[in-house]
Amino acid sequence: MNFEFKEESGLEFTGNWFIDSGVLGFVRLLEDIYGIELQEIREIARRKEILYFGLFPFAYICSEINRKATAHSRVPKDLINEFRFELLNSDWESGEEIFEFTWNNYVTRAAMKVWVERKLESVLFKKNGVDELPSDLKDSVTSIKKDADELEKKLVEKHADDLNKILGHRSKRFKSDDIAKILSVTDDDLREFPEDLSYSFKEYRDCLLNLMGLFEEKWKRDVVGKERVPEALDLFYRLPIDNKFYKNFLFFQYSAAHQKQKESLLDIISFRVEDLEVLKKVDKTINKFLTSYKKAENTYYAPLTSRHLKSFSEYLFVYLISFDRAFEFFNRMGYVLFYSNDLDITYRVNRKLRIRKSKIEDQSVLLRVTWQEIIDSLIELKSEWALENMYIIKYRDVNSQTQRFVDVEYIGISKMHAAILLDDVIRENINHTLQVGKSEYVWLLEHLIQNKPLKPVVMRHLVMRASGRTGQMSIKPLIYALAIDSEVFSGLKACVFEDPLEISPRMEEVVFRIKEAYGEMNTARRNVTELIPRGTRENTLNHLMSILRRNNRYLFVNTLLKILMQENEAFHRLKNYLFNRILQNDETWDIYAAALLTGFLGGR
Amino acid sequence: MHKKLKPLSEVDYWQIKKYSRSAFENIGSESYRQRLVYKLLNTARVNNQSDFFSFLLRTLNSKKGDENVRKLCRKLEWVYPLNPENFEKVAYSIIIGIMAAGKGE
Repeated sequence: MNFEFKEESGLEFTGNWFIDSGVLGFVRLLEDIYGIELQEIREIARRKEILYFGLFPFAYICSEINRKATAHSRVPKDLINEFRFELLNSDWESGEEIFEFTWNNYVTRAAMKVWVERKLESVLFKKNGVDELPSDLKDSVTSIKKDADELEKKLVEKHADDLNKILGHRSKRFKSDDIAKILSVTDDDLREFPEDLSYSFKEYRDCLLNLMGLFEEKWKRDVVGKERVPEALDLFYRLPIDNKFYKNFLFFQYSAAHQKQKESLLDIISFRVEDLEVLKKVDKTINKFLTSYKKAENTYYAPLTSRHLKSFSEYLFVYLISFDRAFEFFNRMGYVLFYSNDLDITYRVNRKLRIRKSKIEDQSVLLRVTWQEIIDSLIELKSEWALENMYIIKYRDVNSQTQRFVDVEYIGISKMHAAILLDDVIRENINHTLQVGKSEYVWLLEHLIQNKPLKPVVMRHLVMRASGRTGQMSIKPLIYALAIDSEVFSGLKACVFEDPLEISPRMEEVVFRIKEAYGEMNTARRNVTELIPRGTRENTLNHLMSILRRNNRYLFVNTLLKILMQENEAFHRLKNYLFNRILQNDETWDIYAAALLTGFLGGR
Repeated sequence: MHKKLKPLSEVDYWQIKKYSRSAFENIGSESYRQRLVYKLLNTARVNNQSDFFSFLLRTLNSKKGDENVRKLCRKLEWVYPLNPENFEKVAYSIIIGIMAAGKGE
């Protein structure tokens, strides 16, 4: 199976939401770490090796490290920029060479601080933390730890109240969270405390710094820039990363030592199907949304091995392990992803959703905001075909045991709606919020996309207007809404099978017809407003409206004709409209009648 | 059993409207027509077919010889009797025709 991508870069969606989410996660990962946008990533992707063997592994490890890091140990921006600069401006022979360079010189530097923090914690708070150390560190660490323990005891016993101010809690021992706090206390901060405390505190801090210095030195000596770490210390130098979504997957395993972590990341990137058991099959091990390969054998008619997928997507596993990055966490809703089968539109909409994250609090707002972003992206990209397949995917939490999908919601727009929305005039006019109740507002565009008729909304709004309960004055959106309704919900003969060649011309025609209907309705409305005296209009409006709400066509015409008897000019202007659009029109007369009623309101 | 009613098309309504317009060009004064329209509107509103035709035909009878009146009568002869749904459409077509008559000048 060969798959031809439309972009040279190969960075495109595949049509499988699962892999596509991974692609999006991949893009987001790079965006988060390097601050580059999709277009730029695509350009870099022309040099595949640099992207997949250099930029990706570094970004991936950085994001995992940052997840574990405290404010002190996050990967510094300077390091990231330095790496990117060096990588992009050098010549490389192979992917492996890039990967070696990336891991040995930069991944190790990025991981150093978190590693040191973890080691410090284990020495201070784990029972046999010191025993696990390599022999050359043991002696010096033991003596420093002894000092530190004494100081800690002294501090806790004598200065419990003051420590409470600094650490925010009282206890008989320090906790691992306290390290960061202790390190962030400056000499200035200590001035307000008794000299005795400040002295001991500084000394304790120095002990910590000393220990950290020892570890740092060791890491720099054995790991940074080295091709291999010393074999005996392999596990000691394990990168402290952990991800509950990919629990136990290759380099996340606790028993995976430094060298193994490095190798398996390279295996994933270069997709070595044959060598590695885990990569042969695509199942629960890699992603919790998949079934287990062994346990639920009957779910497969033919076991899906990744070998089959290799020609389909060259860097499949790179995407698969980026899957969790695609989702964004929203309060009260869980993890949410907007998905359509076009990378550009999906990327844009999700990014904009993320920017507006703070405003999104519940389901209805999410949908509304999503629609706004979709429409914006739609106008920018004119990517009509992608609109038919759009989903919002939500899950509550994912760890190694559970996989709780909350909801997958289909929100596709039909071709016809997309055609309507792509017309600037119509879109601008119905991008309008109508007041329909005391504090109830309806966004016409949203209503239309959800394929609901607009006339009931317009009618409710007309009632508000007639009774003077709203300050809204505009007429155009009302008439456009009615014109759309008259074309969208009528006249389309219910054919099950239609000649596909006739569909797209009809789509274009629909926009044209909507505009025609608008023209006709608007003329009738203006004639009513201009030719019937204000007093008559106001007196009869409510009566006509109640007739229309009871759906009584002939009574409507009857009453209208009685009014028009007195108004020669108006009758002659309106008689064709009355005859053709109301009397003769069995399907949509009520919509045309409603348009006529807007004339009775006056307004712009 | 009811006699099977004739189906009416848009063209029929359009003809009825046109014929009534030309027939009433020469019947009565402006105010006479206005009174007639009122009466017809009221009967159409309650779907009273017999009264509607009684008013209408009485008026038409006064100008039997007129060519346009004859055309309208023939058309009505063809469509009569009407079911309620068709009647309303025919009635309003006639009323619109009458209102349109003589006001164009």
